[in-house]
Amino acid sequence: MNKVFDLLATKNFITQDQHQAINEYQKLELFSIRNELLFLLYISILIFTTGVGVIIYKNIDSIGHVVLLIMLAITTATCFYFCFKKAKGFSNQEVNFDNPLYDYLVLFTTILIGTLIGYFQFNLNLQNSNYSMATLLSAIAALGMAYYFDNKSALTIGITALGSFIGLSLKIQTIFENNIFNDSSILIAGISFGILLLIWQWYSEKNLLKTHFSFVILTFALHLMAISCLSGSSQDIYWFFYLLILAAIVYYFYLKSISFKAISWYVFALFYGYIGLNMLFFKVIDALNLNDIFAFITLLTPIYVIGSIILFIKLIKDFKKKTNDSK
Amino acid sequence: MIASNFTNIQNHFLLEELEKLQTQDFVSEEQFNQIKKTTVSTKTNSNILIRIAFFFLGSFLISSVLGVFAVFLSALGSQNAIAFWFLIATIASVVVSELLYNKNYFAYGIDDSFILSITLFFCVAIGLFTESVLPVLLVLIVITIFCSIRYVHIPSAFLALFALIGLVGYLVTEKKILPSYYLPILMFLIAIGLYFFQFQLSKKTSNFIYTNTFLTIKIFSLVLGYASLNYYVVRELSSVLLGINLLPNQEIPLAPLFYFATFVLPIFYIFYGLKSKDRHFFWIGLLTLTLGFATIRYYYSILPVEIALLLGGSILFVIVYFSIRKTRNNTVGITFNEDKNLNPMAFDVIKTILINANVHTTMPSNNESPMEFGGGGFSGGGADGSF
Repeated sequence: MNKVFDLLATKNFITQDQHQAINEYQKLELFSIRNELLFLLYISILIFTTGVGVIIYKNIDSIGHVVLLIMLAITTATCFYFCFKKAKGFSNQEVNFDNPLYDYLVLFTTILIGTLIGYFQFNLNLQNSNYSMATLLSAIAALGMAYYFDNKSALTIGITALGSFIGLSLKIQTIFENNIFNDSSILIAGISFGILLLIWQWYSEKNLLKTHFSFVILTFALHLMAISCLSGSSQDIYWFFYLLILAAIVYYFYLKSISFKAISWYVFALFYGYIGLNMLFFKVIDALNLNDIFAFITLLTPIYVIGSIILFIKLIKDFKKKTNDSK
Repeated sequence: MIASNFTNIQNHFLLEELEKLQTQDFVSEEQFNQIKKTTVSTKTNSNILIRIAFFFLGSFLISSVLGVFAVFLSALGSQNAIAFWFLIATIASVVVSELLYNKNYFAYGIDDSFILSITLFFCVAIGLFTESVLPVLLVLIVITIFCSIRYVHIPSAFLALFALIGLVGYLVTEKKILPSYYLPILMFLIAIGLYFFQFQLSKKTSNFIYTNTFLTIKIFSLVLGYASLNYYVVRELSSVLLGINLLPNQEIPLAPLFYFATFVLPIFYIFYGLKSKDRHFFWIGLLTLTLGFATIRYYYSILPVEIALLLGGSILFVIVYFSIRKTRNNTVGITFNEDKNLNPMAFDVIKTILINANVHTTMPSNNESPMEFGGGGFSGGGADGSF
């Protein structure tokens, strides 16, 4: 590794003094395993809670619901107590625990609360009632935890649960299982939930309420709305409306990504926009019955692709320029 | 031309290095910006998303051009004629790659698609001409090595490594140049060879721009070294590739060695990584250790799954907890303190995905999982409980 710094020094990118300071620093041989340890901690919590879940599931008939419920409630309450004791209290700004381990305790508690609520409803034998109440309660609890203890993982759980409440499965697996959304009511629910998230973020930003949560909220909103619109655009009747909404979303996130300097949103907004544009072309070609000159269109595609490559290069340059200017 | 391009690529990597130094406060921001302005570097997309997006665009371009040619050339019937056109396509890809390279595009995305298509088209052409596997593999190795040296192209280096493994595997399993049960040992020796090959070459300052290529070889060799001796891989591949049919309680030849390696190799990786402060060893050690446990559980379910999960979770938690306590206040060597050089968000994406994928906020109503557990659990549990 040292040769890099030698090379930097010989090319006069760094001065001799800096080179020496770096070498001194290198001699300390610092090796931070913070990220790895925290990640392993996270994994251990996930494994442990999964184990608890499996035990409950398998022994539901031998242990008895009441005992399990009480045990679960006691564990949850204990965890919550420790979180609460160590927390610095609610603040509109970002607050961290002195010890990062407590963030994981908050996560653990959030998962437990969700399990408790769901299990409680299950146990009260309300089989005929739907489970949306439990989901809504979990969502509220998770969001409460997220806002009070300033925890992004809990926020993720909260948003996902809120989505399930209105009938959306906001899980990554659903994209791969390819059963995203196929009927209009779910598509509209997805778009409305996205708009709700946008309003939520806008309201938080206006009132300076946990503005560092914006990134998570808006990322959910972007992907949810764009994917809903794109699935909607393959419908026979209303496709044009979905594409119009998509255009609005892309434009909104185009602006947002520049103000947040979030290149990932920018790329995804362009990506969704590009797919939408191609959808539009297909629909137009289809509607105009241009199949007779299909061979001619094939000839044009390379030019079209080259054109879009140039456009994208320009757009990326534009983004870099704009974000640098605002520095 | 080559010389100047190499300097530009070198500058690109040096600037990246300098940026890291700036985040560590060794170099002031003015100094960094000053140098960045005056130094000629390459046109590069450091963001992997953009690079992938441009790679797809480049691939669209290539396929749409192919589509146009297909309209004209669909009349061609003979296989050799088609192969000839693939050769032409290869030459065209080389020309475009050279053009992009001389225009200073490096790891931009579009150049990746053209450099990879050189390999693809040439191998298709050779395959159509010769209709046998060996020449294709040989050509694949030669051409990917050429691309990875000429264009400092890492995906090509990766392909070259795979082709090498493919070649050795093909020679042993199909051409029988060696008794096939030597294959794991041979692979392990290749892994060691590759590791020391990159170790020697990466020492030279003149090879600086190939740092990432060497890193690819290193990681590949570590993973290959483990995979070649992992019990699961050896056992399953022996039945698939070598046609050794094993009964469930029958052992493969040299089984103790593979059992030993399944656990000792990861532990060696972890300790070596910690000792030599080598993050790649450390990570691959953690990863392969997980695979080691998964391997054992696959063949021997010693404990029921829930107990295994609880125990595993608790043991891991305890180990991590004590490691944190032990390293929290270290100012030299291994430490729990933050390293500014490393991205603290490195694992955040993985964490979010894990949370999103694993935590069920909806209860049994509409999920598929309860169905799987239901029947078996209830009948077994009932018998245990009442008697």
